[in-house]
Amino acid sequence: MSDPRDAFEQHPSALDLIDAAREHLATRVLPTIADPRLRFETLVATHVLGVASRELSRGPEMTAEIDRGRASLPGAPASDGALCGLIEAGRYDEADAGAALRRWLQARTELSLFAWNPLFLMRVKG
Amino acid sequence: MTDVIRPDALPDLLRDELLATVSAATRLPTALLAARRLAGGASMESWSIDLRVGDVTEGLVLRRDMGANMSVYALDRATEFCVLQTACAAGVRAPQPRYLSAPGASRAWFLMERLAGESVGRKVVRAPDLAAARDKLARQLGEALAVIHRVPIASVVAAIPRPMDGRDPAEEALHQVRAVVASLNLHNPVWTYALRWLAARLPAWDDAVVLVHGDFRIGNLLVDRDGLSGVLDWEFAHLGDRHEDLAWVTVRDWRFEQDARVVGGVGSLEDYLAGYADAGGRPVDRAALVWWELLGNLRWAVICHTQADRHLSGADRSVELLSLGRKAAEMEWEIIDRIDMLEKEAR
Repeated sequence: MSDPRDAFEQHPSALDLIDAAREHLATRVLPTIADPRLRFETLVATHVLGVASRELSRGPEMTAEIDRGRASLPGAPASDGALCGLIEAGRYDEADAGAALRRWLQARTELSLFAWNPLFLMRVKG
Repeated sequence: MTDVIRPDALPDLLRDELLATVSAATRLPTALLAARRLAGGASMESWSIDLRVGDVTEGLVLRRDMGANMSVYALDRATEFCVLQTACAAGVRAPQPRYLSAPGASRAWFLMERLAGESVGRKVVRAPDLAAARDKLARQLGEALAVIHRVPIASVVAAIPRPMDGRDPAEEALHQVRAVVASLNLHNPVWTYALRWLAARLPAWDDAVVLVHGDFRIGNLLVDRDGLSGVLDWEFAHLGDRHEDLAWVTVRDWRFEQDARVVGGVGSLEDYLAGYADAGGRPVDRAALVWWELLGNLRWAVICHTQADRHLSGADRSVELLSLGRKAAEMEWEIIDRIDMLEKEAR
């Protein structure tokens, strides 16, 4: 993590900007909207800013974790494209390789869900 | 559906088409009393419409193309109108279709009977005043599907999609998902893995071709205090395997967070399948049901990305559509979790 006092042009940070816009929508705009359709769309807009905020807050760490996990799979695919090719070629048809792939896919999907909808994971995993 | 209404909210062109069509069909003087845009629907525009036709006031719902379709497999309005007529005539609880736009309409539409009830998913699964309805809803959904799957298909067979010659419905469904995945041009290992896994385990099929509603789930079903009051949204009707319809409402996303109630967040699989059997539905293959549920999750994940693309391509700028691309992770998690459980059980 860099030292936030080192910021020159990027202060406030992108995360600060996104969080401020989200807070503005949630506390100042949403309460004033009566039209149900516009209200729903604004709720979605507020939500996606939260998604971006959570993702940015863990972005580099998440990408590194995903890449490490993928490279440790059987066949050591270096990219999603390479992994898809190996799946199609039957590299994960065997039980243990399939189980390893599913563990990684699950972990990766959970990282996406941390950004998109942390409550989903709490709900379905109990 | 009792909000304050401004008749002038309806676009002039649409109002003129509507009045001309209804008065031509009825040969009676027709006036627009009220119109209100209804929420929901990413590919279809709907309005609540009150018309005075002669001496009678008709409460109707208008369904109109929005210009962009969810899918190339969706029916046009004229075909949907015809399917709905056939279904109603066969005793399916669905809104009676009333008036279809003339061939020259700006965008095709039809008017159907306005039934009472709630269709918004999160309300159907939670509203306190629908608690008694929910107790019997799973069984009623099974019964309704049994009726739909007995609709005589001769009159609609030429107009609606069916599996290509030589493919059974499961192969056809996989083919369609593969085609959408190819068009998205994304490397998604969950999709690739799920497609391979499903292709290796195609369910047995007994050759029974039925009318499949194609989108039978909470959100497209009207519910009042007595339970199911109408089956809506027939645009994805096609010919195929009954298990496809039976499985769709069990896909987790249609439980609207009431996860323990496997059937649409309202009831149990046992009640649902008992309703289907008691209403004369053919035997249900549980393995086929699971296969179609997984396929349903995959299809919904992929569709979510096609919706995000509508925004990204500039065709329909909408933060709601865009956000669906990220929602796909929920279905992807479910697919991997379910496959993992099935593999562990098989060991």
